[in-house]
Amino acid sequence: MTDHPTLTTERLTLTPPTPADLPCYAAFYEESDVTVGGYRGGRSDAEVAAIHARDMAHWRDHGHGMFLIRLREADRFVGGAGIIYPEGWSCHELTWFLRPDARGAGVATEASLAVIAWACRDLGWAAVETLMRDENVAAHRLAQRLGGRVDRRETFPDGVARDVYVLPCPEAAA
Amino acid sequence: MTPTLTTERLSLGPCAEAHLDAFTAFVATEASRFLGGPSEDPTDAWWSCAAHAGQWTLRGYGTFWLTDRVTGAPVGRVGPWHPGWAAEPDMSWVVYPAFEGRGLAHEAARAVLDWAARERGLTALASFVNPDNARSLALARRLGAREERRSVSRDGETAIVFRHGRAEAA
Repeated sequence: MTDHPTLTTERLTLTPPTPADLPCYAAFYEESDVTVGGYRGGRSDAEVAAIHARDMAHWRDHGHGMFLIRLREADRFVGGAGIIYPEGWSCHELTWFLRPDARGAGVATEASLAVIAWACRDLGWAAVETLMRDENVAAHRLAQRLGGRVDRRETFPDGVARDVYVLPCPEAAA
Repeated sequence: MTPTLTTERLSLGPCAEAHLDAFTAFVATEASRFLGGPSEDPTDAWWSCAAHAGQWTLRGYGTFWLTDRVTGAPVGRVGPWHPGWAAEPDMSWVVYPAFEGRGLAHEAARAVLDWAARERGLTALASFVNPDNARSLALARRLGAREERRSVSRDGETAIVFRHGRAEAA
């Protein structure tokens, strides 16, 4: 079990959520312009608190989960990236979200590479998977930038069929 | 195929045309919000009824449509809904607003839980209830179901998972 690892990249610090991070979730869901799925905005305080609690419990139950991303220089919360098992689903997924003003700067790519490298090195995984709706073009592009290839197509517990990408470990960790 | 059960005030059975009409009217209203409504598209109700009927063929159990035994009016739908992508069935209930407050959902759910345990060995069904759905929470508790956990789905939707037990709160 790797309790509360901190990952550091050139520009970012990634840490698992703590009880003190509820305001980060509140800020993100307040700003979110996403209309579908886990990152959609327009949620009540209770819903946001439940999502925060879910992400903390995930670390306890699985030894991995969502990391919150902060800019190292500004110490500003800008989003999240991590590996989660959605309840009732058959597989894990790399997932990420960014505050609207943090997009377009390569933050999701930098954070995702750090999470993948950590999973390969510290969890001993051979690869990480990710999946997204067909219309989520940005997520498909990111998966491809991460060296991912489509491994299969699956219908998930919400009835939506998605491509599943396998994201390789960094060469050095292989 | 869907068997027919009889309770004191209700008959429980397959989806007849009157049920389809009543359900179509129901999903067009705000009262259907905990079922993913409202929807003005009548094909949504048709597909839902077809899927619920089809589940009987594919799994050998499913939901029952409720009819008032005296008037013949469609009252709602109760039973274990278990689509192909779900990890386990959801013992669910819908009673149309005009029939609320008379204990009909409880009467039907009790009969379906007994049938499911007796005829299909489904002795520990779960009900996934939206925490804002006060009527549904009250019914789950009245049925003697125990609050097992709070589930937050991948999509961030919160549900309270109730677990039904056999021969409780008869």
